[in-house]
Amino acid sequence: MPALARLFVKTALVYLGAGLLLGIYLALPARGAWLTWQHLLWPIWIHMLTLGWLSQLIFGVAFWLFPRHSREQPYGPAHLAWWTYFMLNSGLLLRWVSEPLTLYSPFSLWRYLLLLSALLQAASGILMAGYLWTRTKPR
Amino acid sequence: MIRVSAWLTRIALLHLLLGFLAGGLLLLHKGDWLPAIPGLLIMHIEWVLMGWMGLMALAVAWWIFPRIDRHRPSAWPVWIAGGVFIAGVWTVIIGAGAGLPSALLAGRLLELGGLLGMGATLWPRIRAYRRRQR
Repeated sequence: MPALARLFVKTALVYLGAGLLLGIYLALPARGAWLTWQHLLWPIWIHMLTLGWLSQLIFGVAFWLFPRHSREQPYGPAHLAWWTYFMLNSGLLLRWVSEPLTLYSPFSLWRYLLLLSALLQAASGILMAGYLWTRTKPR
Repeated sequence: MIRVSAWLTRIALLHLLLGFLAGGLLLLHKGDWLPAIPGLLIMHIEWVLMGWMGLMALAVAWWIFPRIDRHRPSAWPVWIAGGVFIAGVWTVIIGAGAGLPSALLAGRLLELGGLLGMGATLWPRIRAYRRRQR
């Protein structure tokens, strides 16, 4: 298993664990500010599981198992996949902070961080779709 | 990679691209950078869950699942079922954009039909490896 595939899969497992922990927090009975935070954190939880866990697991396994690009360069333009890893995860981490705080506090820095997070996550999708396209070859 | 799997995977990648872009737009709206786009949340969910993850899983399953007596069954039912599934995704997308609940329903029914078609071809291939006879 190549290094990047291991990194994707291990990070995905960490997100699954974090998603389960947050899921426990969201399931606790709550009132007042606690309840407000549960509502604010709900989209974070969904994206922890769908992006951090599932999509990242698919990226890792596809990077590992999809048909080789060529004999000389089996993983093709792998730098695109590396960039995806860093952009997706930095975008997700920024989102954890900025998404609930944008809705909770009027401080404008959170809006800018949310903008950056949105751009990083969208760019990671573009890069990975482009990268995996080069590894998807009909026989 | 088998031709039908490769093409279904490519369409799944297109849905990944659109789904992530839609997600970015939704986040920009949440930060008050953009006005709301009607139906975009449903489009985002449909592209990511059905168009990307669902279709990708089905395409790869057809490629890697064990063969039956060393033969992979004919691919034409998968072309049709995959086409129906994709038509379902896009019917939901159009329904969400145009605000047509009947299109959402029709799209989900098409997705279910496509899934049943794919499932029927995949089901016999979900099995344990047979021990070789000496």
